[in-house]
Amino acid sequence: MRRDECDLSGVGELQATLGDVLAQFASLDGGPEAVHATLGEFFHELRNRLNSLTLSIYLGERSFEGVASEQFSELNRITKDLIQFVESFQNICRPIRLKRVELPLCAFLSESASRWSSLWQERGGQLAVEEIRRPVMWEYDLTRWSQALDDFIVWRAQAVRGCHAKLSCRADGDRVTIHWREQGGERHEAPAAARPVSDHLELSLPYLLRVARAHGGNWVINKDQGFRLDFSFQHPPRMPSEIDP
Amino acid sequence: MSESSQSLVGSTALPEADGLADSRFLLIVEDHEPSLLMLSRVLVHHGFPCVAVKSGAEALALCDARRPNVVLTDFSMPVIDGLILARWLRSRYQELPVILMTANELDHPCIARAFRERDLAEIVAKPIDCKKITTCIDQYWI
Repeated sequence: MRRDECDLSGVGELQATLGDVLAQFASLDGGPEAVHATLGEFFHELRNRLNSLTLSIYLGERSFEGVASEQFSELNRITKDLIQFVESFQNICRPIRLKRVELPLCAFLSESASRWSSLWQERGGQLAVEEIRRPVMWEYDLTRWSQALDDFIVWRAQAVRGCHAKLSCRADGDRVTIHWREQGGERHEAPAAARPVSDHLELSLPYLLRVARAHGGNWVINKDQGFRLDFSFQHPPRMPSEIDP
Repeated sequence: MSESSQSLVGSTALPEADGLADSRFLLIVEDHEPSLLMLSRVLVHHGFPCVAVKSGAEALALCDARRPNVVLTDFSMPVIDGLILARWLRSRYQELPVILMTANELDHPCIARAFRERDLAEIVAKPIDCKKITTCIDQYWI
């Protein structure tokens, strides 16, 4: 089986559409949970079927003992893509239980900033990560934020080429804001044969919005002049001196 | 595979009848029949003698007759789910490792609580990663 034997045209567009729909859902109270409740049984059955499919491929590969290894490798990759896609879809819809910890506001940026910048450079663009200078504490789920933001930035790096992007945080009064700005660049459309069958990163935006929602955040998305995304949280940041010992 | 009784992979007999008496075996409990069949084959292929059943009730009946060395059970099953089964097994056989397979999120509160209370030895996500599951079972295969 070769990639050009599968008609994958339209798969990317379909996922982008699904991502847009889910992003709308993410902005509604109870929206994703309603999808999750409605599709819960379907997801369960789907994962069971994927499970037997995965096990069958594994058995088949071992039975063939090295024969048709390229085909099995491709089959494994396609299945893995599909599983990741289903996983991403479910992550958006599942109720999010946060493990909030009081941490420096920019802790979720510091670890990954250089890796993101390198990724952006590989695509002929630039990414500037602007952290606030004064030490401000914020109570949030570091793991969820890091994972959601990481997937989002990797997705944007793949989606646009030669783009200048900026990620910044602010702490003003009783609110925290996070801003994403893109300028220039062109949308990268890989040929159908080169696309992953099921690029789960297409769903990274709705997941990021879900995580923001779970933190009590609001957001504005503007795609008119480059991709712009602004988050706002009313949860007040605190100076380290205000924190109880 | 038999509809109502326990089945050894490749046959429909109890372990005693298939030469597993006085031998170690792995009990697999899964209501999704294709997954049960495939998982059994994979684990037999890796050298784990398996007894496969489709419900918690069958698993309990089998454990009364002969104790497995490791139990690998699905979470979502009708009537007796994987957590009820695990709790029951741990109450009777404290050293029996129970590994839970689930299509739910791994930090689901019920699952997390069962793990904290040591009803579960391990939790694995579905779809199953064959290498991980065999490594996982190996740890408890005494």
